[in-house]
Amino acid sequence: MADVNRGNRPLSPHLQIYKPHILMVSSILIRITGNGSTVGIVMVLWWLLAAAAGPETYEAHMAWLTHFWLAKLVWFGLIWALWYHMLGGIRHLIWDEAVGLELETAEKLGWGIVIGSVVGAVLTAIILLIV
Amino acid sequence: MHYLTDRKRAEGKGSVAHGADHQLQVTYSSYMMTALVILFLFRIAPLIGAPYEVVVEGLTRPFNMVIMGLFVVSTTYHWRFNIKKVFEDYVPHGWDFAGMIITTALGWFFCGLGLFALVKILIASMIVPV
Repeated sequence: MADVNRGNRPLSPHLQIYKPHILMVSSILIRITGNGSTVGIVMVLWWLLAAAAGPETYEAHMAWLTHFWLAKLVWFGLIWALWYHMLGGIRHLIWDEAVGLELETAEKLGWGIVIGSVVGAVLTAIILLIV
Repeated sequence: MHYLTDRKRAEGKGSVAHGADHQLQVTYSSYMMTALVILFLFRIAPLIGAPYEVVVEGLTRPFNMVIMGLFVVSTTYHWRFNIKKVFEDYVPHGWDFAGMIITTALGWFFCGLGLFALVKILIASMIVPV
């Protein structure tokens, strides 16, 4: 009787019926920041290739890539994404060792990476603007 | 098909085939990326948008050149390996395979572009000292 009702079974409840909580939000953000960082790969490569093309080309491209205010905003977003994705990855490396899996600790880690990534990104941006 | 039991149909599916290997590959890559991202933020990020001479001088320092080379290779590997999830989870069967072929090629292309740029910057710095 293995094939009874096959392919016509009810789906299990999905994302939208759950009230968002820190563990699901902090998890999906890892995926979003990871995929979003594709933009970062393109922009860092753009910078490298512009530098490889020589001083005139480099300065012309930097006017758009780094000096333009909208680009600065994108760079800030990428710095945050990098911080978030890294802290989220470290959280998984901790969990891989079967540490911090208790609900209360796991939720603290979730808030930790959200807050930590914002603090890290702001500090990085300040340091980069000063230097 | 009617005579297959539930268990028979489920055996060999899911994470049993490549699951442990996939987990380990992501773990190795994650440790490497953690170290490289921190080094990138400290040593390379300050050079992005800096004047041309500063960029060439900074990137051609041996330590920075090696860090950036590793960062290019490791990041494009990490990207190639993990972007597959998008196709596995959100793209209909058939198109997902096409997407993985394209992103695999694109990942290698990014890797090549980055390394090419680094080599060219190094050569330029040797021909015309800045």
